[in-house]
Amino acid sequence: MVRPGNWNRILKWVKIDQVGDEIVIAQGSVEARRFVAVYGHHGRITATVSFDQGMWLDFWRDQIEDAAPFPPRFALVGAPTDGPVEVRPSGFPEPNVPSHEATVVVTGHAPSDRRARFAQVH
Amino acid sequence: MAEQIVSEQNVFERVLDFANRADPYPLWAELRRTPVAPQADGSYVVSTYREISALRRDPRLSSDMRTAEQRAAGDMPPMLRLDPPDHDRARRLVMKHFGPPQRPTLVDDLRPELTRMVTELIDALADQDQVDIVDQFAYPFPVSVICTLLGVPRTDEPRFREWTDVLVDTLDPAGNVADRDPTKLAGLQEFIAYLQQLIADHRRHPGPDLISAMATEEAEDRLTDQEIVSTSILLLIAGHETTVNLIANGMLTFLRHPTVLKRLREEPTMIIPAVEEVLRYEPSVQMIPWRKTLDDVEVAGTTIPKGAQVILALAAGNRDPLVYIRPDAFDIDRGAQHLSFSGGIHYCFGAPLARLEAQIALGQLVDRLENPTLVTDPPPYRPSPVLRGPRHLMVGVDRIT
Repeated sequence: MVRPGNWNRILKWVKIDQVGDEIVIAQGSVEARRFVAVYGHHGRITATVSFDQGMWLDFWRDQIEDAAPFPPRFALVGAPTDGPVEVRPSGFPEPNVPSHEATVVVTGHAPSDRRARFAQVH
Repeated sequence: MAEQIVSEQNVFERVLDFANRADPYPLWAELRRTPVAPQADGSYVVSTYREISALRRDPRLSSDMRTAEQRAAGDMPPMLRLDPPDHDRARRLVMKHFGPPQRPTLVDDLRPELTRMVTELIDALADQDQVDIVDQFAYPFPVSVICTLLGVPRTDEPRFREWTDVLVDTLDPAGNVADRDPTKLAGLQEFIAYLQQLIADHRRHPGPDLISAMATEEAEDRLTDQEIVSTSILLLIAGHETTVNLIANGMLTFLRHPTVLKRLREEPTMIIPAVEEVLRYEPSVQMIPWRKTLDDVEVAGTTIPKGAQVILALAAGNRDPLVYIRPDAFDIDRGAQHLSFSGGIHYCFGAPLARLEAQIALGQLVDRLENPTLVTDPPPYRPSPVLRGPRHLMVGVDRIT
């Protein structure tokens, strides 16, 4: 299931439920704050995030739907200007971490058994 | 297979052939049977809606057709023929003076002025029983609008007609006329010199216009004079010739569909969907010939090799039977999308203005021309197969109210 979403007018994304453990800047420049980042998992494109470059998202959605190879190797307009394209770990926390947003997690099953646990990310 | 390629080439060549300018649609329909049609010169014509729609948002297609030598010589085309990041920068620096968020009401504020221009042009036709909708109406109107927008003095307007004709010819994929014809090349140089002078004048005495805004920009990142010239040329062609054709194509289409004409007189607000349907049915920009592949791109089972010219046949896609029911019918209740303003990063900059101009111009024509009839059908056409429209549109009228 391919899902589009947006944080605001500038930051938009398309993803599937599969996590992306690698990331590459596919278009634009992080420095200039206008870029498309593409996530991959096991050599397939699984998600994309654009910052002030939403007009390219339909193309990347099609790549995700087609499970296109990651990292993308084709020549394209607006290729990154920040230097050589390198694939980096995406830095998402391990799935067994209870939450990567909260720092305190409430655990326990019964109302009488409520505990708080400090959740250390990374 | 070789035989098939030859026949496909012939279909597109027949589209380019002036003899078929009045009605290219049966040929476009024939071409759509091969959604991606290779041509003898190595280019590919894409003619189906889905494929065109995807390609206009595909970053593997470049709009920059400059050769390495042209690039090295510093030849800077208008943003329409540039890729990011140069395109994005140029578009941003012009758009900020033209639309939201900085000038959100610019187009709508022109409404009273546009209405006044249209009213005056039609008033001037009052004692005639036959009018040329192109020369007497569709042509002068957008020239006035674009001149107002750019800050070009009204007295210089007549000179723009010749210059615009030269510029339109250079877009013909069948032959780059300006490269061969020294007269036209000289006209282009003259026009550039004129614009440079205009920029200098407006920098000294700025007005509320677009050239003044670009020339007096104080932000560190601003357009150079050369970029202002190429942007002005772009806005002039894109904002002018296409609108002339939209108005003329619209009136021609209404006259060929009397029930629509009658309905528009009874329901004036239907002019808004009617203009959208004209855009689909008779697009001013029939095709976009300046795309090339930066890599091998597979489209509908055909691989377009790296470095190939790709021609997006918008007019063919607009009548794709996979997308539209009865695609060859002119139906103002359709409420359908079309490809005519393109899409992606090159989506028509002036679309809101073009729509407003056409709605006001066609709305008043429909309302004020009593019993209009086509004198010649089909009318004579302009040469270009890219920016297509009638050269003249003679209309007989009982009376102009």
